[in-house]
Amino acid sequence: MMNSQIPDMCERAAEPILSGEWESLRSSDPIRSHINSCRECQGRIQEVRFFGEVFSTDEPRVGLQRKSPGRAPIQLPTPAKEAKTPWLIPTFKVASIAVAACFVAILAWNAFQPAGIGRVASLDGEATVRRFGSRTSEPLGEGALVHRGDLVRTEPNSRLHLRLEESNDVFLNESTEVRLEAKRLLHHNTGETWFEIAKGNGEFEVETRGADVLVLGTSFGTRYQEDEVLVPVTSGRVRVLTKGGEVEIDPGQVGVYSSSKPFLPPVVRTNPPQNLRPSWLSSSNGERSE
Amino acid sequence: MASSQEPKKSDSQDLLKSVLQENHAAVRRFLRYLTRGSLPAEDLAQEVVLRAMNAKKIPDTESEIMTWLFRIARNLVIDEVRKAKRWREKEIPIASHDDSSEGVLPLPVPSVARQRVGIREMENILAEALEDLDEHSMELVTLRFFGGLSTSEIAKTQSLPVGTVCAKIFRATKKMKIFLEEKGYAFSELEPGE
Repeated sequence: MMNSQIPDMCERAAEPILSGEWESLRSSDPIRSHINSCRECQGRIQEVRFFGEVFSTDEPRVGLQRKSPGRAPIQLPTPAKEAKTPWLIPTFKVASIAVAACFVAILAWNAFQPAGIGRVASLDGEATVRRFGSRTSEPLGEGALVHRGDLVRTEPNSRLHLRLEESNDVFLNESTEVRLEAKRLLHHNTGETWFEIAKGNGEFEVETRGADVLVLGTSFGTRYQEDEVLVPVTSGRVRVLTKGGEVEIDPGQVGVYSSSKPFLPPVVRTNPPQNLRPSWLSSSNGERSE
Repeated sequence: MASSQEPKKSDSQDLLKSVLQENHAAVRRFLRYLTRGSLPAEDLAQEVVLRAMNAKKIPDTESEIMTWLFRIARNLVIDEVRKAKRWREKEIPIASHDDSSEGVLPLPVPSVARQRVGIREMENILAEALEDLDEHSMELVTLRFFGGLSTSEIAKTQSLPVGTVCAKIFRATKKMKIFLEEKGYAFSELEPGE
C-alpha cells in the first residue's frame, strides 16, 4: 500500500518544490511531511535551489566545490644543521621525494578511478565490459566490480546477474547491452533485462530508446521486440514516460511503447498472453516479496 | 480590415517590449552560458531584441514570447558559432604559431561580480551540463530557471501536462547533477562574505 503511495506523494510534491511553495506549506500538511521525510524530494529541493540560483541571478549564493581529496602534504626532510655524513642528505632527499611522488601518484590514480557501484553476482556464459573512457572491452568475471559509465554486454547464450548498491538486482539475458549511468540510473540499449529493485531507496530509472521507466521497489523487465519495447511488471508499480505521454503499470500488466517513434504515447496491456517473469531467470533468483 | 489589425499588432508590440524589458537580463545570462563567455553576451542580447522587434509575427502571450525569445537566442548563438568557426578556419593558416590567442575569440572583460574565484569555472562546467541535455529538456530548464516561468505556464506553451513538465525538469536537473558529480563537483553554499 505504502509502495503505491510514495510515487504519488512525490508527484504531488513536485510542483510545490519547483515553485518553492513547499516552504509555505503548514507542517501538518501531508505533502510537507512527505517532503521532510523523502530523500528523493530532498534531493530535488537541493537541485532546484542550486540550478534556480545559478541560472537566475548574476551573483548566486551557492557555488560548486571540487570533490577530489586534498593533496597530501609533501614532507621534505629538514636539513641537518651539522651533518656528519653529508653524502646521506642528497640520498635522503631523493628517496623522500620519490616516496612522496609515489604517494601523490597513488592518490591521483585513486581519485581518477570511478567508484564501484556494484558487482557481478553470477555469470552463466560470457560477458564483457567497456570501462568508462576506454575504447576496448574486457571480459567480465564473477565478483568483478562495475563502475559508473561502464557498458556491460552479454554474449549469445549467456546470462548475467549484477548486484548494484542498495541491493538492487539487474539480470541481463543473452545479447543484451546496458550502460550503468549511476547506481539508480541505467541505460538499456539492446536485448532483455529484468530488475528486482529494493524498496525504500528512492526512484530507480531505466532509460530505453523511446521512453524512460521510473520505478520504486518493484520487479519488472524491459525487452526490445522488433520495433517495440515491452515492460512487464510483477510487483510494485512502474511509470513509463515517452515524449507522447506517460502511463503507470500495475502488477500483472505489460507496458508497450515504440522504440523508434518516441512521440507515440505508451499503452498498457492488461491481459498479457504468457507468464510475465521470463523463463531464462533461474529459480534461485527469488522475486522480492511485497 | 487593415485598421482592425493595426491595434492588435500594436498591442503585441507593447507586450513584447514589456517582456523584453523585464527579461533582458535573463536572456543575457542565458547567452553568457551558451557562449561560455567567448562572445559578448550584451551584443548578442541586443541582436535578440532587434530580431524580435523586427519579426513579422509575435506570439500572443507572455509565456509564449519568453519561449520564442530563448529560441531566437539559441539560434543566434548557433549562427555566431558557425561564423566564428568559418572565421577561425580562414585565419589560422595566416596567424603565427607563437601567438597564444590563435583561433580563440577574445574573452570579454569580466564584471566585478564575475571576478569572484571559481565563478568562471562554475559557469563553464554548468554550460557543459546544460549542453549535455537533449534539446527539449534544455528548453524546459531554460524556461523554468532562466525565464522564471511557472510549470503551468511552461505546460501551456509546450502543450504538455503539468506533471510531465515537472517530471522532465526533475529528470534534467538530476542528469545535470550526475554530470557535475562525474566531473568531480558538488554543490556548496557560499559564505556571506565570499
